[in-house]
Amino acid sequence: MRDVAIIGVGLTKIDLHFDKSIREIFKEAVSKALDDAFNPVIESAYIGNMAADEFNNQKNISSLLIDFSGLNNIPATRIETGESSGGSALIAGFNDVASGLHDFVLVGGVEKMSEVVSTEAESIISLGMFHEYETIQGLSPEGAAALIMRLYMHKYNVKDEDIALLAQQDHKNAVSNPYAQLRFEVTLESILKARSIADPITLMHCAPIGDGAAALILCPMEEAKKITDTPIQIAGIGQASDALGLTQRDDLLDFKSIRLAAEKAYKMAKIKPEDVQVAEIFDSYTIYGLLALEELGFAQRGEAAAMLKNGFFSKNGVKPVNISGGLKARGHPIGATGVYQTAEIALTLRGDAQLKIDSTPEVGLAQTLSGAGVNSTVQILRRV
Amino acid sequence: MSDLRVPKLWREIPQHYRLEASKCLSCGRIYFPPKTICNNCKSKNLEKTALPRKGVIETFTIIRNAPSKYELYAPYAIAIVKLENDVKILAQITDCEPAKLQIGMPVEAVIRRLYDDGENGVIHYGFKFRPVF
Ligand SMILES: [Zn+2]
Repeated sequence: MRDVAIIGVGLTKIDLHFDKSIREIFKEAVSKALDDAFNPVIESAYIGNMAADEFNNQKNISSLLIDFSGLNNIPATRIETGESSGGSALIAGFNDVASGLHDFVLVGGVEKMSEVVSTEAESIISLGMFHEYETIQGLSPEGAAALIMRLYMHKYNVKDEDIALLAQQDHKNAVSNPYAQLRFEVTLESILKARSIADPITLMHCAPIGDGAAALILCPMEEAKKITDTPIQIAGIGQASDALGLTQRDDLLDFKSIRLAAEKAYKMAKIKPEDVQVAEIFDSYTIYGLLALEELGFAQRGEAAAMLKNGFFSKNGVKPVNISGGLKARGHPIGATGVYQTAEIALTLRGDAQLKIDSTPEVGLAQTLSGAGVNSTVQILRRV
Repeated sequence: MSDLRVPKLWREIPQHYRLEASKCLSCGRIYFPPKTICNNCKSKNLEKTALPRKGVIETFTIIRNAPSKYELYAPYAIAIVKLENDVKILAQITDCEPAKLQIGMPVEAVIRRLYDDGENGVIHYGFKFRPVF
């Protein structure tokens, strides 16, 4: 297997882009990534997208997007694993380069959610749940997160205001990220007093709806060193699935798919959780972010909130988490999110001005998640 | 988009009305909804079994922002119920003030209307749970 590097990164600002089509935002990300990589000839492409069928009435989205990005006739495949689609697309691209099949590969992610009204967007996101046993009972994705959050609070004696700290930190970090959707700070009080969606979850525990596209250019490390002084190695990857239905799991608070994906990625990268210096975690709901911190091995079970409180995960803390603003404030254009997260870690490791921190980390991690622990990917990046 | 066609409803009747599960004859594990292969021991030797109707609330939520089909019924409670044999079911809780719900509360299964599907003219029934006093 060949070592694989990221040599190009392209991000678009996440927003409700009523004036742009899915083709335009995707092309913008691809062009930026290609320029960043000094315009190599791309041989294949993988695109993370959860629901163009429903948001955009469009299948065959990979051919459409690649054509409108000016990349004629290359093999192009859409990858869908729900909300973790972007992470799965990265793994597909990694496999393509590592295997030796192709040298220069585009990994993209895109979701254009603003084509439908928010209640319809809700219904589309609900398609990721177990239809016949969850959706039909009237459960919503927020409801699923609420079931888990209440159990977590009960089991570990943690308050909702402690869990809300993650949303507050995300908002604080997003202020300096030019690509973030919600670049403003919020108070804890405003999180707790926001409209209840599914008790104990308020609107401010949830990621917003938005449009965004992100792109990465991958190639063999050998080639990368000839092209750029700052190649970022994909040092480890891991993916794991879990039962779709919440009731199929023995322990609701055991997000096994994250843990198993992380174990694989750590093993491949030959590192331990404590070696990770910066991370982007998947907090589609604040509670899922806390569980991710624990399953990734950054915190003991039930301890993530206490560590957030003492600043361990803040921008200048021991292990900065979600300096992009996380899903809550950077935004969550679903199928694109995993590509954003990986791109952000790459930028931070490169010391890029837009996502810089005071320390100069060499090892970073990005983690994606679908639904309530249904599928997870973990990507470990290293500055070489 | 989330409509169930009538044959799909018929097919699910044993599960949705009679709480029919499957039990692994090799290791004893019980699956709801029923499975035809055991995740625990990989046996394909499973038989139908009925679930107990009583259990306790493991966790719950009050849905206030409901999916479009359920908007008329909001707010309503959804719980994960742990049945007497430790099998878990997700269902609405009925006949109870939301403020009185608690983790650990004993509940029992009842058949109730879930929602009316105006367009298809199908009324969806299924199990809900209510407190046992
Ligand atoms: Zn078995």
